[in-house]
Amino acid sequence: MIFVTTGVSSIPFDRLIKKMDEIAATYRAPVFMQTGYNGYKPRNAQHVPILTRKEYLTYMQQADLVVSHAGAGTTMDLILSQKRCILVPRMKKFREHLNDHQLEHIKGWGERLGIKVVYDINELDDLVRQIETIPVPSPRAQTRDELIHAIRQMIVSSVGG
Amino acid sequence: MNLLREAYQDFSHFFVTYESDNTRIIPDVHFLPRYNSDYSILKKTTWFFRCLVIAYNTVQEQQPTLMVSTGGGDLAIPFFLVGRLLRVKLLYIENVGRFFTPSSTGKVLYYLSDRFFVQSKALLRCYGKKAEYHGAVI
Repeated sequence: MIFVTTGVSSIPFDRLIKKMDEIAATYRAPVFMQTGYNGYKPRNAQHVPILTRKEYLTYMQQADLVVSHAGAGTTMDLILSQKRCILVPRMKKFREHLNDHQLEHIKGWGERLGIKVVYDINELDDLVRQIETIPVPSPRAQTRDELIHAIRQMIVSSVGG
Repeated sequence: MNLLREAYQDFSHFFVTYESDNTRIIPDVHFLPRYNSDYSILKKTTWFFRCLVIAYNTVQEQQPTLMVSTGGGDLAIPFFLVGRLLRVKLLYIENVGRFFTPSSTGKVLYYLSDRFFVQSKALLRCYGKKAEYHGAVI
């Protein structure tokens, strides 16, 4: 199953939903989409406007591949659950977002954690047909431990002083 | 903050966030009203002062020695302003999604906080000497 999500934004992300709907028409496995309330409604895939957090995590867990907008929250969920994924940033020039802030964390995370990022929507046709070539992101456990250590030191020194 | 719990779980602590289905279940949680960018200037001002009052009362009641925030600014700015006034130690950790450019919240809280962490080395250059890099949450 491919799980497609555009987050909880009120702005539609039709570029992604339309392309995945087109793919779903001939795809070998089911495609399920969380589309948001507004915008294009898929014809070839099951879809809901919005999932509860619990439902969303279940779909994410069960999917073989997640194709998502590049929201920071969704991206973190994907990294933490080490889920094979493709991220498609919303772009201001297509009126998918108020600004291009999704591009910054995506460039950073894409480079450092090896996440597949797609800017040209037509690349999805080939990518979803060779899922095994798409990398699985993994969190950097060591850098988190260092950060935790630094915060803990500050707590200890402020409690003491 | 949940991913950083090993840093603070052995110390008494409380949380401040927005109210939602996911946050109502957190123990010792306090809520600030949600910011809405569609608000008129008047409503934005009222919202801000309401947040300041809640922040003041919360800090007076809980008497924290340290406040740590990873954003967003709509939660952190009112609490850090009050924290500065009431001499609480303040640690701001720049958003994990910031790699190359500072956030507007970061630019404000750089001046208010006692210590200021960034989660990308490239950001050290964007801020002043106070910025420190000690790794990233993911």
